[in-house]
Amino acid sequence: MKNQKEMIILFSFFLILIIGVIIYFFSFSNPSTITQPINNIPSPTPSLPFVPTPVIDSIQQRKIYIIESIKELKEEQKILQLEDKSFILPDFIFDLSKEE
Amino acid sequence: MRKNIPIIFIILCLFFTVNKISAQENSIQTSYRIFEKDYRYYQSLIETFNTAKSKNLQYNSVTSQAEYLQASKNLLMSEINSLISFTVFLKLKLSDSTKILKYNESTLYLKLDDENAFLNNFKENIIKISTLEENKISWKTFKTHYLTVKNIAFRSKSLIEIIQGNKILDDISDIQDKMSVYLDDKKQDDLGTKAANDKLTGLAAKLILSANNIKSAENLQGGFRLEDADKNSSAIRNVLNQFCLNNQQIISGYENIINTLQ
Repeated sequence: MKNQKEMIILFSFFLILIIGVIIYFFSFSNPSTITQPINNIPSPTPSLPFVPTPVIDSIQQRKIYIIESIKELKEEQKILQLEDKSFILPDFIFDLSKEE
Repeated sequence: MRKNIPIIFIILCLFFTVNKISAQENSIQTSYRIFEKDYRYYQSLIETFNTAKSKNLQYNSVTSQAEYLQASKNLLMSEINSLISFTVFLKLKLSDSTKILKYNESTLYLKLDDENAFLNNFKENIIKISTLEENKISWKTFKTHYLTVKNIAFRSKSLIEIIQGNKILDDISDIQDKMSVYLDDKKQDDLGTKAANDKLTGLAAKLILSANNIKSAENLQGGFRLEDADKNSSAIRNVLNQFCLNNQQIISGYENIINTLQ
């Protein structure tokens, strides 16, 4: 009984400790919470020159997407084709011999 | 910390959603396993029951009659337990497959609820049985409820199959549209694309056949009578088998088009 109480106290202690560590991690690991002088903000990375996506890529992507959709459709079709026998309740014996 | 609260909330939501989905799948499998266990237990009692019954027919003594009554009660109890676990499984399966219970599904669900409640109460009556006459009346009552559950199971099966069929039909229509757009975007002067367009038009006609199959299945479902559940369910299955065959041709057609075109 005493051991059980001790175990509960120990467990609670560790639980609080873990929660504390998590809170600590979320409070200080986020750089946005650390006060920084405005001047120290790093300049944004220079943006790459705009390259338009070739049209052929979008058609190719569409083709890949259609192939994926067909694959999914085949899986759905398989499920319907394999009749779900679990719905069929097996036969039971009924002790009605004299009346039947 | 405040900024992180929504992230923590989303993570927790995701965690509980994933858990809930897997729990639902597990509970269906578990409920079926419980049913199988109960059914196996019922099967294990058949031999004892048959022996006690034939012994009673042969000797017709007080002892043999008491043994027979007890064996019969035990068998009935095991069948009730099997049927209860089957109704639990069926309810889970019905709610999981249909996602949103519409009128038809909710009626079946409520009927299963009623059957479940009745069978649970019925178990108490079985314990009290003391005569062969009471025993026979109980068997008769049980048979009626067994047939009701069996018929509900057939209807649920057909309902779920039609829902699956409708989903497949929607997906095929979606792919048909995507294929059409895809071919439109390709060069029209290409002979291969023109042939593919012709083939796709032919597949659209087959798609109408599939849609008609689903309509036929839905009409059969509309006139579904629980008394002829077995026959009705087989008729719906036959229509859906035709639907599947037709779909296979459509899917092969799509694959042929998409794999041929560069």
